[in-house]
Amino acid sequence: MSTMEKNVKLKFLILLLGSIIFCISYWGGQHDFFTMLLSSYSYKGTILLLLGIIIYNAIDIIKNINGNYLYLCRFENMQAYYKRVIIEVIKSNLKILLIFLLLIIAFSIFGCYNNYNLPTTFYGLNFIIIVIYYTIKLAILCILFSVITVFVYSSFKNIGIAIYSLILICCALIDNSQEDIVISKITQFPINYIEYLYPHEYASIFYDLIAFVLFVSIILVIISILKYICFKKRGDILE
Amino acid sequence: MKIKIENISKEFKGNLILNNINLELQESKIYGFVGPNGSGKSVLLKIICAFYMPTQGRVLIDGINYCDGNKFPSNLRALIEKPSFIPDISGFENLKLLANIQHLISDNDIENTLNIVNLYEEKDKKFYKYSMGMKQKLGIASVLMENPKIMILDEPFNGIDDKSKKKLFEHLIKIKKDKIIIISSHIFEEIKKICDEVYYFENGTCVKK
Repeated sequence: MSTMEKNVKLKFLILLLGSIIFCISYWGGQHDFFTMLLSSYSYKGTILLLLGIIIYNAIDIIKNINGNYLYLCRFENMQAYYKRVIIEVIKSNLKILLIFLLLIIAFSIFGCYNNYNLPTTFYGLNFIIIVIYYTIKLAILCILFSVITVFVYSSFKNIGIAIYSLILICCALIDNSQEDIVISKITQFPINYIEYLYPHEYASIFYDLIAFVLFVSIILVIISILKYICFKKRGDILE
Repeated sequence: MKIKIENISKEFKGNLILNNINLELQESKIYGFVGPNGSGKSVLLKIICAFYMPTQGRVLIDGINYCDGNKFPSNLRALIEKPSFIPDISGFENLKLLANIQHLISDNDIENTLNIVNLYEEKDKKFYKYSMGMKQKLGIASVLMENPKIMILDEPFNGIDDKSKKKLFEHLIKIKKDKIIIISSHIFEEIKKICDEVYYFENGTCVKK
């Protein structure tokens, strides 16, 4: 079995484990399928696990490209190199996200059937819109965090990734559930990404959208700074 | 075309791998870099490709300094260490993937190159089924196929049969006009037959042999 095949299987197993953890945490029958599915999208444990895999996968792809001299010598400049790396990382991470979502859906169905709590009511168009909205948010964050990983790893290698992971864990663990208006949280916890993963029922969708856009803007500024550092500080591509 | 290597030194975590190397490589010549393992040959090749930045000095290709800024040398192809290809697709498809990065050549050009390295018959075989010699030949084909001005071949003849080696030697001599070809090896006898100039590397320094 090649290293690449081993890595793919490892990532899948971690995702599977994450979904099982989620299901066990929500086991109990108090939730129906729809509530369970919606909760799963923003469940801290699984989101952290997903981000962990996204970071690991990005590093794996960068190492693969950097180890391939036949590929490297065909790039004209660093811009072309980073463009290719980022495209490859995003493509691969979106596939991981898709598997993650399918596992979450599968386990949500399984969980409900196990508790004899079958989805008897269909919430209609509203439910579909909310699910699409969740998924788009998660996909955008997945892309942005992938890009940050590429620049952090290229500039600061493993130490940078360790600090970056620590920041993400801290941001996920911040609990600001006492607040009841989404917009006020933006100033308090500007990088608490879990908050921006689900629409808040107690605030209007408009405020939720503004909160998310502001959050994405902050990440884009961080990406621009990292990109500048990366191009400014041209070091060895190879390790 | 000219490659000028000026005062190149390279350190890794305090270990001096290359110590003040100065070389001038002219076109229409095949250069040999010989030396024991760990003598710094591959590191210098990676610096020429701009994969490594030197601790000191610079590499000028036609007057352009590639140790400064974000550019890679254009028209350079390199086979360094073991070639990395995708195992689940054929040799031909692997070359096509590489050729598609810059879209410089056609499928016919790829097939002609596979013929030169004696791999045409196996072109549709999956890469993971290739023997070590066949993998090496595919790596050489990836360097030759786009007819670059600078060719870098690091230990290219490992595991290649004598018949194919002879054919490759003849081909390299035939195409060397207007090109700079650098071949590295730890066996002097192997490359002295085709090289116009040979440099010997030891303990981070290099001398003309």
